Amino acid sequence: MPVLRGKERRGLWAFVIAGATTPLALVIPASCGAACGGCPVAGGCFAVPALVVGMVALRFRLQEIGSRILDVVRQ
Amino acid sequence: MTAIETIRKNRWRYLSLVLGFFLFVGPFAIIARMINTATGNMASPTLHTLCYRMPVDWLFGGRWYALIGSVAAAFIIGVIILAFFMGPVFCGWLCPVGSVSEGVSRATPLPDRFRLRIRDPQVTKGLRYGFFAGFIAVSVIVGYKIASISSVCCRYCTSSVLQNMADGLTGQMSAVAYWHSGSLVTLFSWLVIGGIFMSGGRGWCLFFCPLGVLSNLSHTAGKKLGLYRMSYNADKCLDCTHCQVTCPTWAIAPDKSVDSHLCITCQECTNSCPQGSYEYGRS
Repeated sequence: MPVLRGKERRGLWAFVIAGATTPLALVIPASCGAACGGCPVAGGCFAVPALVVGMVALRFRLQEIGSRILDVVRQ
Repeated sequence: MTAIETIRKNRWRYLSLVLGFFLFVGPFAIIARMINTATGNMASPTLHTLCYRMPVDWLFGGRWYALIGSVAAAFIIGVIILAFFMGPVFCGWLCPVGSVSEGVSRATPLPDRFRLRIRDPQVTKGLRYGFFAGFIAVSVIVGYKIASISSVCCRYCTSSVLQNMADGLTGQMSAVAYWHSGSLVTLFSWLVIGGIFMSGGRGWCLFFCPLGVLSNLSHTAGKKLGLYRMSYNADKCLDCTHCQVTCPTWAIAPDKSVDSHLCITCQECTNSCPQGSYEYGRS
């Protein structure tokens, strides 16, 4: 079984989350017509692309900050 | 680098992007106009004549027969072949959709700390191909009628949004009836999230453009054969990070190498590097 290195694992994780989210982002509001107010998602679809990219960015940013704190503690 | 200096150094690309608007977007749409004239088509030429998305949707949705004789399919194949030999120059130098979001991003005086930039190209690449896989999944679901939903390909089309914005600005009242929730989501994702709030303003191109993904896959294949690409010379580098800051598609890795899965050969890195570490050419 191939072993993924850290950066490859990060890429794969991003691929999986984006791939799993896109159909939802596309399909959920597909039949909502002209008004977001009439949809149970209530315009939440606006936030989906931003949330996905934001979540990924935040996850790795937090990891980076965490490792910096650990470095300082170790020193 | 000051804004004036950036404009001066990249003037040919910016002029080319302005030209791209007139070449592809109606009512000008010079290329579509020429094609329509040559084929005797009486329809008014628009950006939609050379749609970036529908042929991809047809291909994966089992309607490949619609590609035969389609001007849009021929255009997409042309762009992909060009990317194979020369890199994604259409994306970097001509695409009106990318140029508008990049222009909006550059013209908005928002400090960089409020803009998103993913530093690891592996993550950007993962997101890009993930969203593309999602686009294919939706094409399959719709094309093979796995779920009873109407096509979402045109519902989230930046080309349509741009064309209708241009129509509205040139006084065509039909553009008013176009706006629906899908187009508003697209407008918001394209110009606000992907444009203003993403560094470089190419968020839509990076994550949601199927033609961009196909162009970069083609470019990567061409690069492996030694065709035109951006190359980096580590010996000249002073580690000033100007290249990473100016790259609109976040294609430059922390080690300064250029990722061909993201690069649009815009050559902003070449023009921003004081040492000339980046070159466009064949190996």
